Amino acid sequence: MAHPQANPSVGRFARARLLSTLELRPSGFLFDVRTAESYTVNPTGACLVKALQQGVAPGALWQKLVAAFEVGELEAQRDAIRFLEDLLHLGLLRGSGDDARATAATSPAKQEGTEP
Amino acid sequence: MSSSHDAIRGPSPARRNSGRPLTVAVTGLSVAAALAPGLPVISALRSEPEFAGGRIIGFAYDPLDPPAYDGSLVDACYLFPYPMYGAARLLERIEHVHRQHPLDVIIPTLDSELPGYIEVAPRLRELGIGVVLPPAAAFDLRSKAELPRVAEVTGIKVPRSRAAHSMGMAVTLASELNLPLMVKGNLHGATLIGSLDQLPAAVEHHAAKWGYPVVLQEFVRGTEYDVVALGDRQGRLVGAVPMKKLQLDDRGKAWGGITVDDPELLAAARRAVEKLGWRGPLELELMRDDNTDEPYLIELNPRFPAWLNLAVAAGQNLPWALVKLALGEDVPPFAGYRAGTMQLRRCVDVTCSLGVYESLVTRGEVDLRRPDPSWIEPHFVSTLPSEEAADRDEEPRS
Repeated sequence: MAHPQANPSVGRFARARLLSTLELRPSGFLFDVRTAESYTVNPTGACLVKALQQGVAPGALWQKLVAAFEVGELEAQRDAIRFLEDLLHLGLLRGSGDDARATAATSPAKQEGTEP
Repeated sequence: MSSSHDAIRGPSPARRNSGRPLTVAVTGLSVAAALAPGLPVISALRSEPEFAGGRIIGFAYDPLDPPAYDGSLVDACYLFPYPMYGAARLLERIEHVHRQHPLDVIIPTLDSELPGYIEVAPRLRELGIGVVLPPAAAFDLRSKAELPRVAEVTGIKVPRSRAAHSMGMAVTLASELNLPLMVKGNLHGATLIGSLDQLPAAVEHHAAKWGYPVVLQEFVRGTEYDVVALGDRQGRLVGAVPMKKLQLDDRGKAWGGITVDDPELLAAARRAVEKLGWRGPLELELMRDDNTDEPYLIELNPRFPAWLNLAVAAGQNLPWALVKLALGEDVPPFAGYRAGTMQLRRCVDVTCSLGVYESLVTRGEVDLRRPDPSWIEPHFVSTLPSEEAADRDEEPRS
């Protein structure tokens, strides 16, 4: 079984943190008090959001799924990564590896073309 | 039937024989782009003293439909699938609501949802839910493409028009008509064109929105008058109120109106209801030709219009009459209405509960009589510098 920390897909989320402006309601209503954007998460999504809000490292999220639901480790890892990608796509994560790479690509120091 | 209505008056209609409050569902709650008729229908019912204590259930398509947030308008609100998802989904959702809030009457207010309601009407009656809907054949005639047939059946004049089922057909048919032309979408919208080179863009615009056919209609230069009417279960006229638009929005919809004393317009409404055997609400849009002063029927809408509160203010609460018809009561025709009643529309901002929004987007429904104490609430944000904020421990007055 591949160790999740060795998985390059989750590695890029290692430093990612959920926006502090998000409020999760028992109903699954996720509300950003700064932008007034709102989202709906299902119970598994709510489990992951809560875990992130409690400071659980992105790489360890899959363990929360395994503990709370009847799901195998590999599936839980895939689901956790997919969820993190969704959060990233929606702009609800800060400090992910994608953010870092995007910043580097625009840096004047990288204009020699050593980075894509 | 006794001629003495007082002598046979039973329990107030606002309470059913079981003691349960009379419960009416109303659709079409949108306000944003254009006022849909649902809110005016609800306002009309709430203004009726006999409806006191009655309950209104909103059927909404959007969680941001404003009536869903107002406990003085609706008691509960449910999100519904769009009509394009079919009658089976509609019925499933109605049955869900009915299990939680037993319905006595449903008033659909949007053209696009009527075919679904007509289809499920037999099942609604089995459930004990009253609806008053036109026969399918009459409903089909209200289509813009069928206006010439309406003229044949009712004797009301209509402008020359043609229904085009393709762009090529539109180009050919347009040459048979006199300019200028109104190019009309199947369900909504119209574009005035003064030359044939404007035709393709207009046809494409409406076809893209509502599909074919697109109707080409000779433009009648004149003054528009609208009439709201109500047919009973036997297709007899119960009420009718004509009005002239005073103000228009940028889509040409009435933003203000005044009722008029015009026997010809009333006669047109009577002919439309009786010759078509129309059951339920109806709106006639007529143009009085500037040259001949003759009224031409330019559209027949199979539901209450958004300006309907003008008719209520003029003395005909047609939505309440519709409810009584749907309950199986015999409703005598209104004796008349007050001409010269004027109405102007205004927009107001209403503070809403974010918790209602939360309930609608997560559960698809909300019961305003049972707010959830865990609903999200606004939280206080200090705008003072932090040292001052620390000294102040109360929220400022709003």
